[in-house]
Amino acid sequence: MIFHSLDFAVFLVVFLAIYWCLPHRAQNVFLLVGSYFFYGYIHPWFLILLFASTVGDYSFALGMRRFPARKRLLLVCSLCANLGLLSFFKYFNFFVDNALLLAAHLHVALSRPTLNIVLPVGISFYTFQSLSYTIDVYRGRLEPRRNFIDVAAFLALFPQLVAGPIERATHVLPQVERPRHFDPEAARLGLLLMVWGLFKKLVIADNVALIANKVFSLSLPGFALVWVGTLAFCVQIYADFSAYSDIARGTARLLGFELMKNFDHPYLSQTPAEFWRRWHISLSSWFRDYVYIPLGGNRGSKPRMYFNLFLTFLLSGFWHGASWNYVMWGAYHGLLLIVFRTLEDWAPSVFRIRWLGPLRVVCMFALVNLGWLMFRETDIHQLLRDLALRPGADSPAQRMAAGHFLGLVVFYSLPLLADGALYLTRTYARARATLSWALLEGSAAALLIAGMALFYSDIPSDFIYFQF
Amino acid sequence: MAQKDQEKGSLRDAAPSPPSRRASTLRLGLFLGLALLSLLAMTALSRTLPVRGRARFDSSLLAQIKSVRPAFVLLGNSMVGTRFDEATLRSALRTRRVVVFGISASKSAEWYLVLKNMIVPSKQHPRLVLFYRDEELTQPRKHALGAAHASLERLSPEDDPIVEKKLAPSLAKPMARLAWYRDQVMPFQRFLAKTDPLPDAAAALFSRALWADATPRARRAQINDLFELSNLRPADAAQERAYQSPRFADVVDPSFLPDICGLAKEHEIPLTFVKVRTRDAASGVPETPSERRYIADMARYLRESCSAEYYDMHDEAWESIDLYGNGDHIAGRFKRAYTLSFVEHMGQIFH
Repeated sequence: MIFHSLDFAVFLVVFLAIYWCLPHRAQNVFLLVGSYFFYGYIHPWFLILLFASTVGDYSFALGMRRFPARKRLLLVCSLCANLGLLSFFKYFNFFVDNALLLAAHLHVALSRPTLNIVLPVGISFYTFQSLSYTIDVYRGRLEPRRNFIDVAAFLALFPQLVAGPIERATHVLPQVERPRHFDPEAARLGLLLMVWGLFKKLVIADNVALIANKVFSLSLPGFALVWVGTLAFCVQIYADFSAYSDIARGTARLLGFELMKNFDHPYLSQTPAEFWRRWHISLSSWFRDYVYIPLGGNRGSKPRMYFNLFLTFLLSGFWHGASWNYVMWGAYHGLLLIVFRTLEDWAPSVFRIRWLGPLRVVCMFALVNLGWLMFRETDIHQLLRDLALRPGADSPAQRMAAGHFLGLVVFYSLPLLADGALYLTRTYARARATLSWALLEGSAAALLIAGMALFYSDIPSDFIYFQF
Repeated sequence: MAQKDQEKGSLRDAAPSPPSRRASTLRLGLFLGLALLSLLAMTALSRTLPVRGRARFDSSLLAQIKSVRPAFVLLGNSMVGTRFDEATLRSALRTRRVVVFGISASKSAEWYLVLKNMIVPSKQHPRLVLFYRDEELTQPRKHALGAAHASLERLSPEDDPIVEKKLAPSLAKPMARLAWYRDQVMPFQRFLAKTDPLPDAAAALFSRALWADATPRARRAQINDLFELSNLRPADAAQERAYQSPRFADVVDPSFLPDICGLAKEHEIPLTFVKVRTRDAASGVPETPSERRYIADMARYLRESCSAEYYDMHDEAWESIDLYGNGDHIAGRFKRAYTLSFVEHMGQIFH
C-alpha cells in the first residue's frame, strides 16, 4: 500500500478507529495484523519473507540468552540469514551478470541461469532493522523479548516498514511494550507532518520528477541539460524521500509512536560529515554503529580510519542498489569525507570562518549534485559521457530547454526554500503548544492542502526508495 | 553547526508536550477544522470552474464512406497514418474503393465508434481492416480518459453507453470506484488548466534569458523537437523482458473486442485484424513467453469467436529496421514504398 493512495487513507481511518478502542495487548496484535495487511496488500507472498525474517531473529535472540556460550554462532546465523536473503533477492542478478562478464573476458563460456527474481519491497529496510535487534541483543544492549507479538509488531510497524526510517529495537520496542494512549497534541503534530509530506511528494517531487525523467531519457543531453536534470533529481530525491519519512513519522504519531528524524535540511550542510548527519540519518547512523565502529571507527591510525570510512560508504552505496553506479556513488562520498577530514586537519581555520559559511554550503551543494548524477545515471557509459561534457558546446535548443526546466525546478522548489528560511531564522524553534501556534500551524496545513489541490502532478510516481 | 542546528528543533518535530488534555484537544480540533475548511473551500472552488465542453461530433468519416463506397476501410492510429499513402494504395490495388483512417493516438474505443457510427450507418459493407500494436485491443481505458475523451466525443453524437460503461472503473474494484467518485465530488483536475501557466511563466523567465528572440510557441516547439522519439535512449531491454503480458481470457471481456466483433457480425461487415510489426521485432528482440501466450490466445479468439481474419506481421522480414522513423512509425520518406511493399507481401488481405 502506498501513502499517497486513497486505499491508504481509508485503511488508516478504519485502522485508527479500531486501534484506539482496544486495550494495550490487543492493540499490539491489531498493529501486527494491520501491518501485515498493509505490506501484503499488493503482493501477499512477500509476507512469507517478512515472517521468516521475524521468526528467525526472534529465535536467534532468545537463543543468545539461553545459550550464552553460542552467542557468536547465533549472531553469525542471524547475519547469514538476513544478509543471505537480501543478497539473493537484491544482488543475485548483479552477481550473475558480473560473473558472466568476467567469464566472457576469460573466454569461458557460461550460460545464464534463468531466474526471474522480483525484489520484495522494503527488504533492505526491514532486514537492517531486524539485524539491529539481534546485534543489540548480542552486545547486551537489549534484553531479548519473549513476547513474539511485540517483536513482530516492532519489525513490521507499518508506517516505516517499506522505506524507513530504519528504527532500532532499543528505541521502538519499549514503545511497543508500553501502554499507549491517544494524545491530541501528538496527533496534531503528526497530521501536520503528514500534510507537509504529502505536499512534498505530490507537488514538488512528482512535478520535478517529470523533468529529471525527461532529461535522463535523452540519449545525447548537453552539458546544461545534464546539470539541470541533476538539479531536478536532487530536488526530487530529497522531496520524495523526506516526504516518505515525514508521512511515516506522522502516521506513527497517530498510533502513539515516536520515530527518529530521518532528514534535517541536508542541503544546508557545509561539509560531507555534516551532510551525512542530516541525510537519511537512520541509515547513516546504522552504518556508523554496526559497520564503521565495529571496523575500528576512528580509534586506530589515520590510514586505518580512512579505510574504515571508505569501506563503510562503499557498502552504503551498495546497499542502495545492485549496480556499479551506486558503488561509485558510495565510493565518491567516502572519498569526499576523507578529503574534507584531511583539509580540516590541514587548515581548520577555513572551516571556522563564519562569513564563509554560505560559500561552504554552495560548494557542498555542488559536490552533492555531482554525487546525484552518479546515482541517477545507472548506465556507467552514459555517466562517463555526461561527466566528460564541457560547457559551451550545447545547441541553442538544448540551452533553451535547460533554461525552461531550470525555471520549473526553481518554481517547484520555492516551498523547500521557504522551509529552509524558516529553519535558518529559528522560527520552528519558537514553536510552542499554544492556541496561536496551533492556529498558525492549522493555517499552514490549510495552505498546503490548497497548494496540493492547485499544483499536484497528474502523473504520479512511486516513492524512489521503494526500489531499494 | 549541525548539532547547534539540531538543538533548534523544528515546529514539526517538537516533542509533543503533555499540558492540559482539554487544551490539546481544542488545538487538534482547530487544526482539523482549518484543514477541513481548506479542503471544502478548494472543492467548492473547483466545482465553480467550467467543465470542458463536449467536443463536436464530426461526421466527415461517414460522409467519406458514403461517397467512396469502399470495399476496404483501413483503420488504426498512427500505425496506419504513417504506413499507408491512400493514393498509392488505390493505384496499387487498382481501385478507388479504399479509405485509410489513421486517427492519431486512437485506441480500441475510437475504432469501435468508427464501426458503430460511421461504417454501419453508411449501409456499406466494406471489409474493415483494423491495424493494432501490442495489446492495444485489450486496453480499453488507455488514452481514452481525461482530455483524450474528446476524440471519442468527435466520433459519437452523444456519449455512447457501451463505451462509457467500459471506461468507468470496474465495480469489482471498489477502491477504483471510490477514487472515481472522489474525482467527481472534488474535481481538482479542473484547477490544473488554470494553474499550469504559473510554472510555465517561471520557466519562460529563464528560457527567455537564454533565447530572447523566440516566441513562447517557438520555444515550446523547439523543446518538443528535442524530445522526439529518435533522440531518446533505446528502451531498456531488461525492462522489456521483465514485462508480463496479461492472460488474454482475463482482459477480453472488459475490452471492446466482443463489441466490435458482435457489431460486425450483426451488420455483415467482414473483419480483418493486423498486428503490426514493431521496431523491437524488426531489431530481433524476441517475444516473451507471456507475450506469445497472449498472441496465440488472441489469434484463436479472433478466428474462432469473432470469425475474423488475423495476420501477425511480427515475422515479416521485408519490413526492415531501416524503414522506421520515430518509435514504431514508418519514416515519412518510405511511406509510399511501404504501401507498395505491403500490397506486394500482404496482398491476400485485399482479396
